[in-house]
Amino acid sequence: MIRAAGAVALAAVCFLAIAAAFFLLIGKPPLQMLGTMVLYAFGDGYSLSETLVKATPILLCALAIIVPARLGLISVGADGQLYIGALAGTAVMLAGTAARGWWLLPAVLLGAMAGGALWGGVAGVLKARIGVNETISTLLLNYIGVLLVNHFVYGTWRDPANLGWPSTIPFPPEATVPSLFGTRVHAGFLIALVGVAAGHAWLVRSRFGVELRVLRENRKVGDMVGLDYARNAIVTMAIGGAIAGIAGICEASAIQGRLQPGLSLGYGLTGFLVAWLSGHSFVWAAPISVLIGGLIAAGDALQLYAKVPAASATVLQGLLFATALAVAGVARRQGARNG
Amino acid sequence: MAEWAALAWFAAMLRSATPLLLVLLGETLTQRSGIINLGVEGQMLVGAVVGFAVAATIGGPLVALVAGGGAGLLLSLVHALLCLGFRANQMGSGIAVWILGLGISSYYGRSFVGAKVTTFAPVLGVSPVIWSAILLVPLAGWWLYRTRPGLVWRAVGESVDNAHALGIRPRGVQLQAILVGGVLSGLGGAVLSVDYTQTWANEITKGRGLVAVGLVIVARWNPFLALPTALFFGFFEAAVLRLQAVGLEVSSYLLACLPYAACLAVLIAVHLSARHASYMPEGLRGVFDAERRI
Amino acid sequence: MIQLRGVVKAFGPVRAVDGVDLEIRPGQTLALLGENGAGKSTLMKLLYGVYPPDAGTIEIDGRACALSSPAAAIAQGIGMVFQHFTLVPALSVRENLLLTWPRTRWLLDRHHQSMLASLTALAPALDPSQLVAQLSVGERQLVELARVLNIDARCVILDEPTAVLTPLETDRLYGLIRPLVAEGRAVVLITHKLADVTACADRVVVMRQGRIVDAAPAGERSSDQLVRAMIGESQALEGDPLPPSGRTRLVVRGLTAGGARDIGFELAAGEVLGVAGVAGNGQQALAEALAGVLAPTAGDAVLDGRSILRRAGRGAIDPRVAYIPEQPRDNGVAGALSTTVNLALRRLSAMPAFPDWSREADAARTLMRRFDVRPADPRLAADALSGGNLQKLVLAREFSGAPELAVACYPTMGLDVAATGAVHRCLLDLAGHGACVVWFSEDLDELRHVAHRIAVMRDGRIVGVLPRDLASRHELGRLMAGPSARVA
Repeated sequence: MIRAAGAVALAAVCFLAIAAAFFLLIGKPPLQMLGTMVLYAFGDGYSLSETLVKATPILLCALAIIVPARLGLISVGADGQLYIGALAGTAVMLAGTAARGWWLLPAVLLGAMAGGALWGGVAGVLKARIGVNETISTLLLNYIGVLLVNHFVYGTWRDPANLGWPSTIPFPPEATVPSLFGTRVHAGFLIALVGVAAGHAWLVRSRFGVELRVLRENRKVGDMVGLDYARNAIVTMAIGGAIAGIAGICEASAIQGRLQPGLSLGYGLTGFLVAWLSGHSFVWAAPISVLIGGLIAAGDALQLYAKVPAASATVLQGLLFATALAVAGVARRQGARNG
Repeated sequence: MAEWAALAWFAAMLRSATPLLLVLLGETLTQRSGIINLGVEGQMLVGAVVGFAVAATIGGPLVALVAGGGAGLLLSLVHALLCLGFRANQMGSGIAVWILGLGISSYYGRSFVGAKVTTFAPVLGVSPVIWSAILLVPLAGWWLYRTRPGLVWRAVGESVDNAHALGIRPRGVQLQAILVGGVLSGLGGAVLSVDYTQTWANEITKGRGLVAVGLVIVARWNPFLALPTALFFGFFEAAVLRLQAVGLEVSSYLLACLPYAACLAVLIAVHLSARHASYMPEGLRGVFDAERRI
Repeated sequence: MIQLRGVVKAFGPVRAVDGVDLEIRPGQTLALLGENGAGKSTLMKLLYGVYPPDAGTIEIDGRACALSSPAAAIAQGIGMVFQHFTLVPALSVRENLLLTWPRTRWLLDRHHQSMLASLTALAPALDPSQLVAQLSVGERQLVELARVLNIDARCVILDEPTAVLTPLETDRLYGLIRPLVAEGRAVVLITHKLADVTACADRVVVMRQGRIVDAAPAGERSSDQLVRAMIGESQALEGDPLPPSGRTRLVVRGLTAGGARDIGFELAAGEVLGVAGVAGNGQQALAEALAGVLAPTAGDAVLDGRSILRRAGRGAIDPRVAYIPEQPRDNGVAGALSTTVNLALRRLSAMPAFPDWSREADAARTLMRRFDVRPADPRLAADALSGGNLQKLVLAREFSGAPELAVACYPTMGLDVAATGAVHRCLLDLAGHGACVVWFSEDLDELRHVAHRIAVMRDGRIVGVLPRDLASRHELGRLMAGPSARVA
């Protein structure tokens, strides 16, 4: 426990040093920059809400990665699952938009979950039955997912009333994920927290969670005692996909108001980073998502107010990931050496 | 006239395939030493942006390509440091490098969006870069199978422990392999922006580097097979443009799915035949099969 | 002339080598004798530069040497043939030799005749363009030896070379060692078998728990003295197996799976069938088929009227069967998980959705005490256990369900005498209660001691079954090498 805390502290210190070096490199005063970022992320009510707005899809995508990771699958497909989930949910919305009712929102959510589950499940099937590496297949499926959404948004679903920018018709209120306290933060954040709790309860102490761990550690032994790797691979990938699908439909309905290109701003990749940083733990994914969400929200604000390109947030994420990997590697070697 | 059309199609195929061929060759050689590098996508991106920046400011496509290769080399050092120095997980490290490449290329490329550069004059109808890339294939293959350093690389890829017991320094070899992959992927990116599209756009590589990592399996980790594999992908890419030009009534976005779907389909076919496993360097098995903790 | 002085090597709290002074002289064969875990391999690996010593010096021809890597050791003329070979299976024999040939050119096209000279001397029938993966274990060892001779090794270290050889191949190896010594080289033979010492050693050094406890010319020590030095007291042979009750319980007919073909035999209640034969002749496939891990393509195995085989790879293995796989660290446990979980593995699918882990932990502690697993800590990760304790953990799990059939694969490989005795007691105990035991082992002496009958496998088939009193090393060796003969 203490060793883990020490490793985290070391990683944080190293990252801050490297981030400071990055700021120096681009010609900005490092301490001031870091302070400004913290302000833009958590400084006032508006900043906090923007941070949570970003944190929601990131956390959902992180969950989408953590569930299959319990089985040892390294999926990077949250983006593609997000897109296809949004696609499916939008399809439900378009079909039911004429006959509106209270049932529209649950139907849209279920549709999104189904779409995401399908996209994740495909990669699961390819891995389980054919042996195609899931990292590669999910990466390819990401690109296909984005293109499929573009196809519909530029094509048959295009809203004729919106001449300047391709998008669907706006989501009616009955199909929109409700907002919390009138801010931009929406119920998706609550769904994500429920996901964290459910994931932790279901996959950590339960028999199912232990079965996944056994299969992850030693597939042969798991097979011997009757555990089905193939079925579990498909199930975990599908569940992860469904969660990412929720992220997609929330972004489309609540944040952007319509399905349009550029639905995800790299949330899938950021979710992967969060999943890794949290050590694939459900509980830790939540606070880390908020931190990284703050980083990205601050990056956006920096671009608006300080003329620092938003791409610097991406660079910082990369530096953070690299630092965490390095420290984790060192900690693991120390641990092995000390027995 | 039909011959001209076919030739034009073939030329388009070659042009599409060349950036991918360079990355594929680089990643094949890297994986031969037992290291997988998903970061080639990021390396391609920095190669593309640096190459383009050099071509747009200083001018001269040759200098630009060299600069691109150098940029790829530098970024690959991160992967080498993480995997070999800190013993980090290879998949995670590759993605970290990819994210870094995305960020850096976005950051420095923003002032170059939409700019244009000029490239080499064509030799025998296509850019001389393409001929050079094609020449690299038998060169790499001959080096891997017929020289002592190539033999050492293959031994390291099969078993790091055995190589160490035989008196080889495996980490030195793997470092070289990652750096070679870095130069080639950076070069591939520079070729993409400077020679092929002659422009810069954000995320210009569109996943070509990641596709290359998948295609290494299809090419059976054999540099000689990198050429037909890259041509296969180039075929689909060229088909996307040609079919649109012909006026095919299919959305350009669906067509754009073709290369990725084709790559996935070929991967599935290769795995179904189950022969790929015998060609895989043993050192990669821990990364791909994931039956052990990574 | 190599001199090791005061050499120490520790792995964590365990001192594998604890202050060793050793002299290796040219023109002699030195047998480094000791049981598993005594530190012999570690000592020689220090000499070969695999890791540096924590203390002490190594002198070669009077000069102190820091052997920082195998490359440095090779440069000093030290060559080692490992127990688990260092050949690269995916490459050809020629390519493997080229890797360590000091005069390899940059371009590999030359035929390097002088490089192949040692190989042709040792194994004239071997085609150098073959892939190592296609060679038998004995042939691979010869390639390894050629590799060592190619570097003109002045000191040749052989680590447990006869462990994986048939009696015929063992004799051939002894014959190869003598000319090496005659050429003035030093040969170090790491072994735990007395037969190796008597066959070719000039000097014998006995190690126990990291220290040298005896050193003398080979002729001056009797087998009994050597055994006592190895294990510290006279070896108490574990109890003989009880005679079987005569009621046939296990019937195997025409079983074909993987490398095993058309296997047939019958076992009575309480009978122990030993299966001998060099690894790679179908034993693993047969063991896995009997255990229910591998689905067979033909034939059947019926225990008390019900088949124990698993078709189509679905569901768990038959609860009546206990499976002790070889290399339990890789094949028998989920290493990073706790001993509690590992002990509960066979029952996992039947447990409730949210099991009571504290009750499981208590049960685990009791079970581990019963089978003498140390430390009996329910929260310890399984792979933190030593080899012997890990094997006992697997036994505890498999035997806690009172099985009717035990399939044990090389259960004592790599274990010291105490752990070996515990495993023998366990399995013989089970047989004493009327269960059937199929015991795979490469140690002919072990099988002759514990089994009622010994079957020999070659090329995937059972080529002979001998009752205990007729199963001499000579007879068994003949079956392993020669044509089939059915005796029992």
